[in-house]
Amino acid sequence: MAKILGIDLGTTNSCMAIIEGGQPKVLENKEGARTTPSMVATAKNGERTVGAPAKRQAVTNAENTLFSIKRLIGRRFEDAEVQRDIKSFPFKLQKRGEGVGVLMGGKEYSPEEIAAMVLGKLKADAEAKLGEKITDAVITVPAYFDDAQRQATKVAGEIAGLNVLRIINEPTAAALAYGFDKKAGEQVLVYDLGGGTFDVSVLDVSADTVEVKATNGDTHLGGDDFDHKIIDWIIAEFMKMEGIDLGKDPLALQRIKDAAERAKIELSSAEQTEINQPFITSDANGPKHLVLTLTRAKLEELVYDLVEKTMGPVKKAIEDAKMQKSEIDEIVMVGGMTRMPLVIKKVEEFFGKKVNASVNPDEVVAVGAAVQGGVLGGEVKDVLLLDVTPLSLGIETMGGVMTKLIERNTTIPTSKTQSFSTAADNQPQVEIHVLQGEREMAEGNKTLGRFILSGLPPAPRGVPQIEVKFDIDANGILNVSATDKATNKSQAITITASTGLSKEEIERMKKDAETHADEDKKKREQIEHKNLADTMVYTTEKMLAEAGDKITAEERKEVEDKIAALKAVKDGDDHEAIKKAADELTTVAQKVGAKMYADKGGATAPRTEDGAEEPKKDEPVDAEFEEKSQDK
Amino acid sequence: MDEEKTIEQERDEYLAGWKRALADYDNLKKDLASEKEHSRDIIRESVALSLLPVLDSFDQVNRHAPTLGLSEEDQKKFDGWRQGIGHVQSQLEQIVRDLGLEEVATIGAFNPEEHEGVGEREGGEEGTIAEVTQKGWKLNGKVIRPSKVIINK
Repeated sequence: MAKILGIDLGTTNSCMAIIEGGQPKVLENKEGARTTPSMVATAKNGERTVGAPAKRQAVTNAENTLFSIKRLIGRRFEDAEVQRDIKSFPFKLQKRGEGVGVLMGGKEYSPEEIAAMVLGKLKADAEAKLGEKITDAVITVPAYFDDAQRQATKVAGEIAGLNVLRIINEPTAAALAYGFDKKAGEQVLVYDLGGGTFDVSVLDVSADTVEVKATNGDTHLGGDDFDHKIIDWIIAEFMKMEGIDLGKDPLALQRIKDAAERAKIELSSAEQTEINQPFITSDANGPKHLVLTLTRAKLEELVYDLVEKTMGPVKKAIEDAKMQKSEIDEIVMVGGMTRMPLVIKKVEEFFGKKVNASVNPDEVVAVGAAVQGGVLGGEVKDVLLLDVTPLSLGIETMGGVMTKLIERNTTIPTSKTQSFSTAADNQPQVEIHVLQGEREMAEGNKTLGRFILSGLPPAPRGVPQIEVKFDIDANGILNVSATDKATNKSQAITITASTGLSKEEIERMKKDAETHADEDKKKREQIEHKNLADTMVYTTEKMLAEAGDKITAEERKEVEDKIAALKAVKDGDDHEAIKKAADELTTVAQKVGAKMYADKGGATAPRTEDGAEEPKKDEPVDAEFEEKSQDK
Repeated sequence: MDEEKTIEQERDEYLAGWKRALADYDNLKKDLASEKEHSRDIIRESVALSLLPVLDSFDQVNRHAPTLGLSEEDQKKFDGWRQGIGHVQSQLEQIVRDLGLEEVATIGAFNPEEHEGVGEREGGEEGTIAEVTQKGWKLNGKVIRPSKVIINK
């Protein structure tokens, strides 16, 4: 089936996505970028360029480089917006019938034709990428676009050779990208702060329809304004330090622009960044260097009023929707600027609620358009639904730790086998305690069942190999078996209700694990120390027994003392002491061990039977069972 | 008879579904392999992009080299030191080239596929590159950073 292209035709940048294998996927353009500047230019030799190449020649060919055409599409020449923009555009506009004509390379074009050039490039690049022809598309427009603007956008798609299946609103697309259409009856606010425009929309999302209840915004507020604040600050700081105005030096200004944008991006994740442009300029006294530290706090101070400016339209939109801010169920962030922590913080503070920002904000609208395309094309409905295990499955091992065999979200049917061993010498049986959940400790998780594999032949700890197999079939039925490799004795259990948990129960268990994550991790580490201490005592005692008269009485005494010291603390709760005692024992044991080894000339090194060491290939040392039988 | 047919039909469906699943898995493995290759390029690109500003700074070092009016002996020392700086620059350039980067050619006509115009200047043949203000780089034929150039008008 032919793919349907989802297109976010933006004022500054455009983006495209498709559905592949049931999942939305953003397509890169020919230049390898995930977004394409919505720019078209005609060079002096008549050659036309679209996207990044058009942007790159803008400075030297300003009057033949068209941008922000979206501000003109479907508008009448007399419209106030057109009359305002006409003053700031370096290219020429003229009346064309009722509408607007744009001049480029001495020829007049309609805004539809220019938009079609951008759409045509996207179409061609998508076809090259996918190796198949694209005819159908879903294109997004701002929620405030009137009928004429929507119609004009559709015409642009048709000129580009696209069959426009649907024109959908940008905020609706964003909500679709987050799958909010599946949760009927939600009130969604979309906060879209892009490169040059700010839009806020309130949506009422119900089962089949998405109603735009209100929109607001600022058509001339965006990332560029933020960049300018930083650029101005850099120029002012340099002026203070060196008394030179870099704003007058075009080459220096170019470097400052790049540096400002980089700093802005870095400060979304870092607390501070260095703006370092050595040799930015020079005067009679020699070269000058631009080296400044910009902290996130300073950046936030610089742009605070810009962020504050977005809150007015947010309040207005909610008011126009005749709602209270508490009635908003979900907030969706769109546009690259919403990566800025201050923006997120402001919005979250206002609503007292977390925002949705997990889908790349530059791509979320295109992704939503692709999702809509997928629904129209029927691709999103998967024929065969594959289930996943909602929670991890595993068994209890030494010290009450849960060892996971099948991680949560694993697609079923699946199976996994792992070898385990015993925790004590001559352990006659092991208990397999089957658990479900995300907590580190067995006691925090749900018991699905337990069984005992008995009749293990006497052997030192760590020697028996017990293979445990977890197998979940397509119906979610879990089969757990344990086999002793030495005797081939086997026991198994079948658990039918392994995925029979209610949604609430699953959520609760996941949440539980999250809230207890730190404490569980600590506990697990402590148990690992204890297990290690046990193993140390066991192996060193064994070593002493094997050593016989190969070591001196003093050496034996030293090791015995350390063993006693470790034994004294190992069952207590002072984990620092356990660790210290274990470390000390290790040191002396190694010394003695090395001596024994040297005496033997390295011919027959003592065999390690330590079950808690690093797992070696083909050795069953992943974890150990706790001896639980009462009749020991 | 009917039942037999239904069962046969079902059997064929299941077999087809199973084969499809196996094929899907096989294709997934292939996709993953090519994806891996692609991520390698992305990593190379991001490493390169973070190194390029240092190379740019070296270009600035050279551009701003002072003439100091030193004694012959001091000039010799200074020249030797400068030469050393040049070698450090070559070392870094070598690393960038080893990552697979190639410098964008900047001779002749301005080409917006590879060059970004940052200014214009009188003189020279119109539309040709007058000066490179920042070197551009390609990786596997893809322009990861265009050359910034001043164009003759």
